[in-house]
Formats: sequence, structure tokens, C-alpha cells
Amino acid sequence: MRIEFLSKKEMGEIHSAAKDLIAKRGMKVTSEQCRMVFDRAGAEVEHEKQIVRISEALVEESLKAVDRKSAHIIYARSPKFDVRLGDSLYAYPGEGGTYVIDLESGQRRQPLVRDVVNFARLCDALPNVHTVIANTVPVDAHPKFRGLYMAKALFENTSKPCNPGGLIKGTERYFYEMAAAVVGGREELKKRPIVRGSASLSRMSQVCEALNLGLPIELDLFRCDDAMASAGGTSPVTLAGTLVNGVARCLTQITLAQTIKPGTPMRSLVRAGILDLKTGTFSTGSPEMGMLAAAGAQIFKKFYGLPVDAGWAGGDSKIMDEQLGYEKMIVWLLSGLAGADQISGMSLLESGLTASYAQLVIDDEIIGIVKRVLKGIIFDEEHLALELLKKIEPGGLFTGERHTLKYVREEHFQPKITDRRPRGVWEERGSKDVIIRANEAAREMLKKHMPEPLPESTRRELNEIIKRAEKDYAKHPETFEVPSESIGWV
Amino acid sequence: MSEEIVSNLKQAVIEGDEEKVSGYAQKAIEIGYDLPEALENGLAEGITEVGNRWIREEVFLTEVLLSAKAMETGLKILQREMEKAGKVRETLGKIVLGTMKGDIHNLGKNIVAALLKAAGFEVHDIGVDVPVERFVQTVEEVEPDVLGLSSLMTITIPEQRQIIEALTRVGIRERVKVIVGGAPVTGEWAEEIGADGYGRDAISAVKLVKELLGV
Repeated sequence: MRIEFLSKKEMGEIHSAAKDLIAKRGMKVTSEQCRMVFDRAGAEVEHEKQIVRISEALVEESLKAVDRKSAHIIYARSPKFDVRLGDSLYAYPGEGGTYVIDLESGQRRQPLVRDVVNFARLCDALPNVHTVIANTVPVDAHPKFRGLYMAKALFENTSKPCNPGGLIKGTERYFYEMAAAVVGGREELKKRPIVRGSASLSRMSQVCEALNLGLPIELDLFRCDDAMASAGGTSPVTLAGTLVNGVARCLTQITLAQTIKPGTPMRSLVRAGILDLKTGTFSTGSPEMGMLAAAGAQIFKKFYGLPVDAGWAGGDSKIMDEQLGYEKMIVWLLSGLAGADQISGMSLLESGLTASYAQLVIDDEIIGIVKRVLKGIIFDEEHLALELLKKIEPGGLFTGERHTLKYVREEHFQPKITDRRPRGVWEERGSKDVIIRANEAAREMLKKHMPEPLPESTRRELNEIIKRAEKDYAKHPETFEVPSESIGWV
Repeated sequence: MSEEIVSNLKQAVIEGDEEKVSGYAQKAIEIGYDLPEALENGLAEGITEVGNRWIREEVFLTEVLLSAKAMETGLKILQREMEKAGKVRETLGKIVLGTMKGDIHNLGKNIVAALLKAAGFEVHDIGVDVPVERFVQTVEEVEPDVLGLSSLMTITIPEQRQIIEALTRVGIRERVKVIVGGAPVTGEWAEEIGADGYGRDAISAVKLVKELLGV
């Protein structure tokens, strides 16, 4: 089941407009190193103004150079959880929550490492979480080593593909050592790079550094992104204009990566939305965000042939309520229907500021519903059921038929926390709303679900690597630095 | 005509019509109108009205920005003329404003700057993505009464604390009132880092500055 917001002609027009913008107005590239790359490739560079103008030919050439095959696989420590983008819709939580809603008290508080652990375990248990990302930033881990503690929490508590984030400069090599330990050595990691695809080009100098300076082998896949272009803020108020803006940025990033190393595999990230011009906030649950994600999914997948991560539903609501529900549904449903490979923002609310266990369970249900819709209406003889229709007398019941049993599971979405019981039964069961039910389900899963454990020796190894990182830091603190580069949305 | 000048200026600022504002400002000069009066009751009143409408969510951010731009255009014209006549508008105080290192959001800060200017403050806007050292250096050079720190992202608000600490370290913290603002900033945070105040929006920022300076 697919929807199209844009015709092929319109996608072509967006592509032409973006190329025109890149060639004539130019793009802002703040990193000097990146500007040098463009300079060498023959682009027109104004170092003082940090502007780069790239010819349409170079952009087209770069688009051709992208490796479109190997970017589709996301490796897990358990091969059965490997994700192959392109055949289905995959979902993951959102990153970076600075608060968490406590599972027991329901209070909003600062996240701890044990939250990263528990979220990872819950993600491992939930069927519609396909890749795992640390959705909170724990405050009880040293900021320099936070990324390593998050990686340990994820590696130990889920066998699904995971991407911990939170790494600072100087700690990457320990992180790769940890990943190697998890898959059984450096050689194995080359074959099954479980931590690749973590570098987003929103910091363009990252790609220069990674590709130019030859960072570890695993960092060989990049994402181009639209920098959360905001309609009415950092881009025109119109959705079409916002698409041009986002596409122009992505094409610039693709050109950069392919100029440094032709054939670099790439994915795309679409996170454009609107600036709410009454409140001055970037909305992460607007219908327009869903539409932009859908249109972006169409452009990047159909027009450019890249895997698309589109539809980040952080929600604008401050609490788990109806607003949060409809915000998430519109963004994810539209993204899914337009062919996005990945959607994200699970567990988040308050524009991604807060993560919630109960919401993760509710989001698992919402994504289940979206995936049901994507399956569409299957049309063949068996599904048309004309024979059965003739067999049952007019006005008769189909409930007790074999045909019903055979197809009920695949034809009807099987809810887990949605309540469809009669009022009397619902009341007998405590008149609980969906948040209470989701919360109970989360607690139950955390009690019962045991992720596939890492061997004891591997766990020891992970601890040793972190300890070594801390010791090295004590000796040479200058080699560990929090990136100072601007990472604003604009 | 002369009585209408003030209300026309105010209305043109509310409409965000830069051309009309400069037209009326020129007119005020031509007919020898009381310029401080045109400034206070025309331009400043207009932008304050727009600011209040913004807080009541009656207008879009776009309208506030257009009005601020129109107001500043008028302000420049009138002030230039007043200076010629040696009648400099008495400033209520000196303010330095800037957005944290790593943060390139400037909408909120710009609105605060416009409203402060309209209210009669001398504003030094040092831009976005400003490192700690430059804030300290500017405070030393400009000697403002108030330092306003803007931050639109959760990851950049720790910079506000660092600036206050740096001011303390070089021994000039007591010379300046520090106020903080931006989406992730709360009153709690302001207290925690030892700021002198927190403004939830542009209008309350102006009120806060006036209270702090007793003007």
C-alpha cells in the first residue's frame, strides 16, 4: 500500500531547483577542511563567506558514484536480527532524551545508566522495535565516557542492531574495540560491521575527518540529512520550498562524501518540519512533518535510490495523551505509506526531550497498526472468498469457518494493549486507560524478558576496555575532547 | 496631521510596514514634531503592542520580526535627527546580548534586542555561536549593565553556567547583571547557575531588565 504526494515530474523539478540553488546561490560550508575538498573538486569556493557553489555536473556525477547496495544492511550481534532495508518498514526509538518518565512513580526525572539498560531490554522484547538506539542521555556516567557506558548497556541488553551514540572525540577507538569484542574480533567486525552507519553528515567536517584521515574501517557509511529544515524558519514557509532546501543540503553532502571517496555507501535522513509561527517552536508532530517525511521518502527512495530514514515523531505533547497519540500516528502513517525504510522517535514525547517506558510500548502498538495498513488489502481467489460467500446462506455467520481461522491473524491486526472489551469487562479489570496498561506491560516485560546474554568473557572484556579508556584519560586528558563545533539545527 | 503622526507611526510598526514607518518618521522631522515623543509613543508603543499580541498568540512570529525591523528603521531615522539637534535620547542602560557557542538560533534574541532598543536601552548584539571568552571580553570592553544569554538547545545551556563562572573567575561578575533565556531555560535553571534573572518571553525580558536596573 503506497501513497504519493509528488508526481515524477514534481520530483524532477525539486531536483533541478536544488541543483540550481547549489550552483548559483551556493551552500554554507563552515568547515574549512570541507571547503578545501570542494575547492579541489573544482567548485567555486568563497572561504571568507564560507560559501561553496557546486556545478550541476559534479552533483550528478556524485549521485552516480554512491554505493547503493551495501547501505541497505544493518548488522546485529545476532544475525537473525539483521535488518535489510528496502523490504519493509523498520522502527527505532529516538535519541537524546534528557528526561525520563519513571516506570514506578510516573515522575519526570533525569535519566541514569540503568534506564539505558532497561530501555534496551524493553526494545529487545518489543516486536516492532527493529534497531535500538540509546534514547536517553544518562547523567550518572562521566560525560567523557558516557558513550562507552551507553554502548555497554546496549551491547549487553539487546541482540538487535544498536547504535549507542554519545561518543566524544578520543573515545571512538575504545568503542570500536568494544564492538569488535562483541562480534568476536576485528576481522569479524570487518565482515559484520555492527556499528557502521552512525555518522550523520550534519556535521560535515565529520565526513572529511572520517574519510580523509581514515578513521576506523567501520565508519564507512554516511547519512545525508536535511538538517531538520523548518518551514517558516530555516526554509520557506511552503512545503515545496522546504523540500528544495532539504534536498539541496543532502545533495551537497552526497557530493562531499563522493568527492572524497567515490562509492561511499549512503543513506538519507529526512527530518524536516515546520516552525510553529505562533509559539516559535519546531513542531515534531505536525501533519506537515508527516507530509514532508512522506515526500522526502519518495524523493530519496524513488528518485535517488537511497535508503530513507524519514518520520521522526518526537511529539509536541508534554504528557502521554491523545495529542501525543495523533501526532505520532500522522507522522508514522504518512512516512510508512510513502515508502520510508525507517521511522523513529519511539518512546519520546515533548519534542524528544523526554523518554517514557509506557510510551515505548504504546508506540510499538502504533507501529504495529501502521505496518498492518502497509500490508494493504490482499487480493486473490482465497481472499476474495467468493466460494465461501456462496457456501454460507445469506445473512449467515462466518465466525466459525476454517477460512476465518486460517486468515484471522494476518488479516486482522492483533492488538496488545488496545482495549476492545465490553465496558463491564473493562471495569472488572480495573477501568485502566492505555497508559496504565502500557506501563503494566512494560513492567511485566522487564521482569520476564531475558535478552540473549553476551558470554561472561565478553562482558569482562567490555569492562576492561572502559577501565582502560578511563586510565588513558587520566594520563592524557588532552586527547579526549567534547566536539566544539556548532551542531545547531540550522 | 501632527497629532496623527504618533498614531500613524505606531500603526505602521504594528503592520510591520517599513516604508510607511520611514515615511512617517521623515514627516515627523519635516513638520518639526517632538521627536522623543514620536519615538516613545509611536515606535516603542507599536512594538510593545506587537510583543503583547505575540504573547497572547494573536500574531505570527513573522509579524513580530517585520514589526521589529520597521521599528528599527524608524528608530535610526529619528535618532540620527535627534543627534543632529544634539538631543540624544537618554539611554536607560547598556545591554549585551548573545547566543551560546554551539547554538545558532537568533530569532528569540533578536526580538528581545528589538524590544529593548524600543524601550530605550543601548543594545550590543554580539550574535550567535559566541564562545565563553568573547562574552567575558565584551563585558570587560563594553561594561554593560546587563548581560543577556540566549540558548535554544538543551545541549548548549551548560554554556550559560560556564559564562557566569568565567565572569566570577576574572572578578567582574559583580559588575553586571546576568539574565538568561531561551526555550530550554527555566527559572529553576537560572537560580541553579546563579543568574540574576530569567525571562520567559521578550516582553518579560524587558520588564526584568527594567526591574534589575530600577528604571
